[in-house]
Amino acid sequence: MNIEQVLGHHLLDHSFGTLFTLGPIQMNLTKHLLMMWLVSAFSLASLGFAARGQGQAALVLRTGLEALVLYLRDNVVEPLLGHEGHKYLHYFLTLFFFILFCNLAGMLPLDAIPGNPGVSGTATGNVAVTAGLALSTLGLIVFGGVKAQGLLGFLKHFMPIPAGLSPFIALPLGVLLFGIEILGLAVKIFALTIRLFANMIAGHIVILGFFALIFIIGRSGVLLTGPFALFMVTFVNCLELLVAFLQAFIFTLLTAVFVGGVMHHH
Amino acid sequence: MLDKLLSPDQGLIIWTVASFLILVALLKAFAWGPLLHAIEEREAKMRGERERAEKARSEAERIQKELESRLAHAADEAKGLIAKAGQEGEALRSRIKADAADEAKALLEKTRAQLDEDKRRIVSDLRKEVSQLSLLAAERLVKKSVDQNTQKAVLDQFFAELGEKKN
Repeated sequence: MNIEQVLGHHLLDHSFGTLFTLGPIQMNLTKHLLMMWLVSAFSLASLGFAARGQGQAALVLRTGLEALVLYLRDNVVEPLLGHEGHKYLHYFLTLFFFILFCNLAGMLPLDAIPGNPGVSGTATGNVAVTAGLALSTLGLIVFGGVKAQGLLGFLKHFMPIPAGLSPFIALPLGVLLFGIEILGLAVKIFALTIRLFANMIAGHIVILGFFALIFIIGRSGVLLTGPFALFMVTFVNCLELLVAFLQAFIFTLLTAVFVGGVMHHH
Repeated sequence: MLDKLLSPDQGLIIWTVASFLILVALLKAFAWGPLLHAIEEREAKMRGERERAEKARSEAERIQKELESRLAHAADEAKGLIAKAGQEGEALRSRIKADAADEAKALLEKTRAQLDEDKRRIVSDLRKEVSQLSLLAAERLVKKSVDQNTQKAVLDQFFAELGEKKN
């Protein structure tokens, strides 16, 4: 078995076919898209049950959920966006739980369920998915900025020229700063995309690498490779569990930082 | 094969944005809305209860202060009343004492006057008696009948002279 094939099978998306086309863009039904929908349905069911359900189980879930929600509200959204940020709170909460559930769903061995047509994998380990989430953040940055400061105020935000400069200096400086600020925003979005994608895929690659050790070194008769690989895989899995929470939080936190940045004057 | 890893599928980007935004709307309606509403309601209730408790406490403190001041006022008043009563008692005592002294003095005067009066009467009676007795004695002595009126005039004069000498 070729390790590149193994990696490709586990990490790459797989298209089940084209649903429709938008101009030159093919809208494919893919493995990761199905995972996202599965995660969305699960989020809707579990979070809806936790928020509105009756009975002991719902109460326990609600208590836990409230702790997370209150943490995100009081320690992330409120300090960065101010009281106005409560309007966007549901966006940040959805973002956190969607990324978290996608990350965790990628750790479930759904492949092992008999009759599964191949719906598995980490959607957040797909650069297109993280790009989509980062672009949603960009949309929120623009929306929140324009809503808080007006279109002119939002554009002015990209030209932080000190007051009292002569127009001969201010104009070229403004153009230069505008370019830099736009570039900075693009870099932020790109960094968001790559950070989540790389973090989610790195763990999988390392785990597959350790499994590959069994086949590579074990063939030459070193018997301890198996237990060693198993131990390391378990360790990396625990690490991935941590990273799943951490990256969901970091993506949410950075989104809040960026949106908070454009909502207030510096 | 793995170079596909870094080339994003444009369709999936659009799918992701659309799916995610729909999920935001759905979760807002079915999860975050009710949950945040319940949380805010509870927080408002707790805030209200805390405010009420603080209000009740400040009210209790106010009442306590008022009672204390009223108590202090009452103590002052009582002290004043006692002092006033003492003064009044003192005044009454001195007035009664003065009245008693006056009365005693008046009684003494009256008694003295009575005594003087009695003495005068007794002296006058005695004089009469003595004059008669003297007359009788003188009559017997001179054994001569004298006109009673003359006798009396002579004796009266005698006694008047006696009285003047004595005085």
